[in-house]
Amino acid sequence: MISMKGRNIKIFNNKRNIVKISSLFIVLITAFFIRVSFSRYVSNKNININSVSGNMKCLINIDSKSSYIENNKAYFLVTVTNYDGDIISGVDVDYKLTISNKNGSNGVYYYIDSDGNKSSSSDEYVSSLTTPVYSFKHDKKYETQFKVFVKNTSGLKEKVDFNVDLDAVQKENS
Amino acid sequence: MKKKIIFIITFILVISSTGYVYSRFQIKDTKSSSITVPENNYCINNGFTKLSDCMLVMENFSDSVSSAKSYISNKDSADVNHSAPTLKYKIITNSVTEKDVATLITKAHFTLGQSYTFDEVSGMYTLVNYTNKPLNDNYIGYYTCGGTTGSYKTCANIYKVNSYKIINEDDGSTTYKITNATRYSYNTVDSLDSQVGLYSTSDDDGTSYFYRGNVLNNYVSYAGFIWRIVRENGDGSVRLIYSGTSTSDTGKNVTIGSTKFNPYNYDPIFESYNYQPNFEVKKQDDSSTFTKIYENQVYNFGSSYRFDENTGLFSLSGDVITGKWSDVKDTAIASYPYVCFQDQSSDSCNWIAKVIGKTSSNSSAIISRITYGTKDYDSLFKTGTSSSLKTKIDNWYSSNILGKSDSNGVLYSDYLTDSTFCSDLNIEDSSSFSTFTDLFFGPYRRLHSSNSTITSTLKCNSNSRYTVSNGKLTYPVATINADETSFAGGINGSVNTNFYLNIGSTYWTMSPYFYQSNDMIGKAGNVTSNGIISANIITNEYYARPVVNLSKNVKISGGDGTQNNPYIVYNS
Repeated sequence: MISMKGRNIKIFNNKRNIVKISSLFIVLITAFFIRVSFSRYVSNKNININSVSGNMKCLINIDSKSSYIENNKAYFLVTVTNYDGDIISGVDVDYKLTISNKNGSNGVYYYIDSDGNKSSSSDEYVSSLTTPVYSFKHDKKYETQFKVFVKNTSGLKEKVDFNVDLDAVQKENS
Repeated sequence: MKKKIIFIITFILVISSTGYVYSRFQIKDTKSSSITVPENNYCINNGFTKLSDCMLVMENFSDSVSSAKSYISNKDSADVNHSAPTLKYKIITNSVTEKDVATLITKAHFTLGQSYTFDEVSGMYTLVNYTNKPLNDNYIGYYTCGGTTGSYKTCANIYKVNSYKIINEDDGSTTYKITNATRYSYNTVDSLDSQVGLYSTSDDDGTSYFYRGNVLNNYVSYAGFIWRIVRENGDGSVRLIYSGTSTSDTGKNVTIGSTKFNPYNYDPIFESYNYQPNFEVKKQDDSSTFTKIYENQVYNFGSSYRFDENTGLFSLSGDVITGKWSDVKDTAIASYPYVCFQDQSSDSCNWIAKVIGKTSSNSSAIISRITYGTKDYDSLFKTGTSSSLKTKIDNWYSSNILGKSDSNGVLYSDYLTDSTFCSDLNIEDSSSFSTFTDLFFGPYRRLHSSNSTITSTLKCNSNSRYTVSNGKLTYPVATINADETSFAGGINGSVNTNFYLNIGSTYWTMSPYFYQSNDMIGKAGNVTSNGIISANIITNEYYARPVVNLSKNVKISGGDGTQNNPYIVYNS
């Protein structure tokens, strides 16, 4: 009886080990295929996320002055960089911007970027515009500037509140 | 239990590191701000009914003219050493054949370079390690600006030779064709911080506020035509340049047609917008090399010459021989030295050459000139005969402005004022004046000189001022000068297609540039079809654009100066 019980215990222990190993294996396989599981969302100015391949940096800055008038149109400047001071992003970055009204404002927008790309080939103004995806490599400092012109639909002097949303992601295979 | 704990810890570590390795990180950030959008019809809504006031306040939607002037004056000075807009050039390529590009066919040769450099500031390509040769297989992969009889190594487009063909023509000549090439041209991008809008500088009447760069809000409707504001003069009048009949007009449609600057080229007097010949017979004491002999032209060579004081023309006399320069040069030098190289279509000419030596080229000779030319320096500034350019502009004014009135019955000419135009014929050292030496006039020295102390100016020497009241103008109309094009954003030698004075066609300014004495060629300033501030031979034909000055009290009935809504000039 004692020997049978020992044998049964031994068999029972082997089965438990097999279950543990199998569970571990399943977890590993699952984790391998879930690629974006653990990102953090931040809302503060300085974005600094550590990864095994280095710090990811992507910052935006808005420059808006009352003197920014060109050809009868008001404009503000948006600058996107891959660096913060002397610290350059450790990974390549893909990003896009969305410019839209806030607080029920009635602005319409059009931009030209520092490479001469325009939001519209027909100079059309829209109430919400999203840029195509831009990219920064991480070999040196880069910045892209957007000159965003603003009109309103009323034709009256008006204060326009707006949001500029940055959506950046680490570039694949970087 | 211990094993359980170990297992759990291991499990957590595995999961953390796995996720750590395989995730991509995402950043989302939102920034908010606000901006004040100005109103439409700002000037009319706020009582700025004079064009001279409205154009100033519109620069920054100022609440007063004085604050507008203060704002403009406090801006950075116009950087006339750089174009506006400041351009960045980017190389672009495409495939072409000889059917697409005429310059890929030549009966002469190609200047062929092993490689090239590209100037991102000027947009120009320059061949490197070049040679002037007919095509052969060794030059596949070489670069060229195109066919030439000389050496053509700097250009706005270059072509990489991919394939070629040689054709032996029936007449014995040979034609070389690049049948397939990769064309390297460029795209321009305006720098976002380019100078644009109104800037200020001094002229002889006060502070002038001028438009500069890629300006889109200086359109005016006056007298049934469209104009662009160049500047507000120091006396408050508003200077306009003709811009067609619609704000969408471009190219030759914003001109009044083409003209020579003047029909003659053999004396510096013809570089004047309005000149009065004061000539005497002059003999060159030394010699010079004349390079404009046509190799296939048959010339007459005489043993002597005569001068007709009534016509002011020279002609050959004595014994005369006839032949190409290459065939008769030795005989001519020895015994028949007088020749009219200028024009072989008649028996007389404005100046005569005495050939005294030959060169290694059949298209040049050592000569001593006898001319009937400008007597002295002061004579350059006398007026009385309109240049071809002035005549063209005056005729347009006479037909389209003079005697015509608006819907209120006000004469269009009553809107205008007799503000000063400037055509600067001054040279650096007036005591050195001679029609047998090269002469470099004020605009050339200011816009082309590497001397940083000399720069563009809207001020004008008194001897170069043109008005109706001083008798140098027939009507209160002329054209733009080279200094004004510089303040507007143009620059010598650099393409600038985006500043508002570029129209896609070459047109004259009223500025003399230089007189090259060896070949007796005068050049005047122009704005080329790709926006380069340049100069060309005054006997060439380019377009003309009238310029007038509206009185400082002229009002507008509406508009904001944009292409869709130009300022509407009217007189209440």
